[in-house]
Amino acid sequence: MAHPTLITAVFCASLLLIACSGAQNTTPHAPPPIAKATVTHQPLAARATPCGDSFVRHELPHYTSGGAQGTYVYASNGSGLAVGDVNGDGNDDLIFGNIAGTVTLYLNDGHMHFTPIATDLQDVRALAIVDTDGDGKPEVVATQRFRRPVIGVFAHNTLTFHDMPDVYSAFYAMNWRDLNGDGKLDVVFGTYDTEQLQHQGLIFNERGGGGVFIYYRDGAGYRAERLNEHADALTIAFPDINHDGVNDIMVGNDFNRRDMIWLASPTGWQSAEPFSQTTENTMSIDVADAFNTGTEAIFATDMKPYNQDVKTMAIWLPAMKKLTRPLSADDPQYTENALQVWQNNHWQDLAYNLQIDASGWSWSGKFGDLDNDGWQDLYIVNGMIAKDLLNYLPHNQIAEPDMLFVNNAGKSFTRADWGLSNSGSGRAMSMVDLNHDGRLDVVVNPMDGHAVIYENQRCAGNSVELRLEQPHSPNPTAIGATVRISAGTQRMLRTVRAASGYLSGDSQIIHFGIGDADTVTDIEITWPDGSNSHIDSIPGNALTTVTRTE
Amino acid sequence: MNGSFVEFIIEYFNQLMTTHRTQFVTAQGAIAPMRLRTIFDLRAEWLLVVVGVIIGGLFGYMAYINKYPAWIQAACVIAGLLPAYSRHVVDIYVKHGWWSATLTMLVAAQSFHGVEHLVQWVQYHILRWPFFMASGIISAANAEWVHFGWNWIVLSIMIVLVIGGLRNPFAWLMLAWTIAHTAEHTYLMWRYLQALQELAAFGAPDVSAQGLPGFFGRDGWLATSDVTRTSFVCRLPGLTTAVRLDVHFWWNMGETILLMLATSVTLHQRNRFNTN
Repeated sequence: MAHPTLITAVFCASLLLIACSGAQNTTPHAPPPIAKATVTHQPLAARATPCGDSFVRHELPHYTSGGAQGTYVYASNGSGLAVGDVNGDGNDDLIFGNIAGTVTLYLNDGHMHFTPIATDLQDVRALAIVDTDGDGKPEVVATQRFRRPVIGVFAHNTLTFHDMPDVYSAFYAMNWRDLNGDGKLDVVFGTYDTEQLQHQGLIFNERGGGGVFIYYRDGAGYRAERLNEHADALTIAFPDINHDGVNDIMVGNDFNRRDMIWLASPTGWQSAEPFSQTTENTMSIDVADAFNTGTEAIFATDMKPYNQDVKTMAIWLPAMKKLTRPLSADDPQYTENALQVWQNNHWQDLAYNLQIDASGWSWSGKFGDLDNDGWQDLYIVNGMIAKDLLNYLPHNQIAEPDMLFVNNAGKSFTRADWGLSNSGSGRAMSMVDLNHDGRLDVVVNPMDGHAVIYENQRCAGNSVELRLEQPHSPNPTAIGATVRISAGTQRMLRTVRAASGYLSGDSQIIHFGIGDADTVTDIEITWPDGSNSHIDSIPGNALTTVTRTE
Repeated sequence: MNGSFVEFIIEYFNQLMTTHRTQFVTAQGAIAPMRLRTIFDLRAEWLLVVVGVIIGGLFGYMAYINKYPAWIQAACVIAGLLPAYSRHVVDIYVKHGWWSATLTMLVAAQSFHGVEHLVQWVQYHILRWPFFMASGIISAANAEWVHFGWNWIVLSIMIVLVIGGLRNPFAWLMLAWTIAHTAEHTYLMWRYLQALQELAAFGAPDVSAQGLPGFFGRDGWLATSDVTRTSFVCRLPGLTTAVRLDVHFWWNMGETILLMLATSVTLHQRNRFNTN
């Protein structure tokens, strides 16, 4: 017979084990910490001009040029733009990149008047306005075609650029996010190897080549982690691919090179291929809650003519035959836009079914609620100009109207004009409310053309705008935070981001169209560190600033 | 075969123009029963088949080492098989009459055309060649002309066979299917020629315009025209979502299946008629 003490010990140990396992089962995740925040509201400006049915086009003096001898391939990819408040006056300013000409900063007075600030920076690709060092003053970051990235500081009405510390390669695409959870903004850069090989020859590879790099903020400088050695990166985004609540990395590549995805995991970045069908020449990526499902879809642009009539096809065929190459048997790439939607526990490309698969030679494509009806519309700028590739066409150009697809309550998209169907050679594009009237305006930096602002004068519904602030954080504008609101019957989601689309920096003020609703309720903010703030309601037609107090 | 080739042709068309349901008798009297498999039964010509394969293969290999295009290499091999199959067709003509011989030619050629589509399918979906490279074997010469010409020939022969007595529900369906298929290839040919004109106007005459979407299929007229874009019609599964190559694979598959069914039914009727 066993000793009673032993039996008691075994019994107690068993109880302890059961209790422990039970505890694990009932509380799988600890609730996110609550972050205290203060809320202030500032009414949006009255809509001064009588509303109409279209946007009004304003050309700025800035002209992005490919060169005096004409624009050739790769220069023809154009240059970026960025939106952000560089002078701290509360208005989002604009900066336009350039190739053969110089970069121009436009200071916004909030009433659609812009003061140009000239710079001497040339050969720029991506632009972003980000507070890289967490000092509360945003800087301008620019990648350059054949030089290392630079950081521009605005002071005394002058924008002065200096080399980015610890970064020595010439990169093309970039995007910013806190990727290691230390609260500081990190940056992902991607090279455009095809252009570098043309420029440098094989020595590019001998010098170490390119690829995709994360530069983690480390003190006053950066610490690099190389994710791979080859890329033709035109765009970088941070979707949550595996729905674990953590940003993953997605790099869109040109020239039949497959897009690259790395999932965040405790053991480091794990590459993945979650899509059965993707774009082939990925020009831009936007991540947005297009269907108000609380889950973000991933939209990527490619090159496919909207019309398939004989004249259009004849314009496209010679160029496409030069660019198209056989793919491997298991290759998921197809030359058309893709809209990856999470359905039935896997990603499905719904672009063709929703008739947004073809939008011409597309560059920046982004979602934004342009009519404030509570559903994000899709706008895509397009066109190509290249003296060598398109030498058979008049002006060496495929000129096609930019494409607006209006979101019909998440069920379908209908093409519309709204004064946005410009036939210039669009490249970078962002949406921002420049005059605080609650309507998103559109800014475009075309190739071989003047920068354009499309002022939104459409009759539109109500809206709310949110600015998130973390004054005690090295990421003061809360890039990476998500905001969920309820308006009427709709639940909507937006993410604060530094850049999206093609070479385009975004405003860090987020915008919700809310239709006829006067207020929005049940506002849930998930800050970049994972903590949450909840606000019961905020008024419509106001800019609400949420300031984290701890 | 008695008499010259010219006499053969004259007799062929004479029978077509002057008789009805002539497949049940030949000039020599009642015909022998025939089954569907007879059409493909080349055992009697095995020697010619072997010699044809060797000679055709040799010419194909020479075309290969001289870097002629793949379609010429394939054409050499196919040409090697033609003598054997020609003798087979003549044999069927003698034993079973002109209608059976015509049917034999159509069924065999249609089956080969099916192989052509299968190769295209493999090139596009398995090997992931671009659509303008995934042209099959012979169609690589010019996919638009080969398929346009082929479909008009099939339609013409179908009309001949229907006049000659190929009349059952499958045959009528096959005729309708063939007319629709040929109409789409005519539309495709019209687009192709227009595109060539446009390309020539751009000074790019050396660029091929083969493989453009047609009426049906992904990016076809039904999927992209202003008339249909706002209706459910533009996203009918298969009809407006499958790529052109798939659409035409199924066009051809349908044609082949209907032809086989129509042939089987008619041969069965004829064999029973002759037995009685």
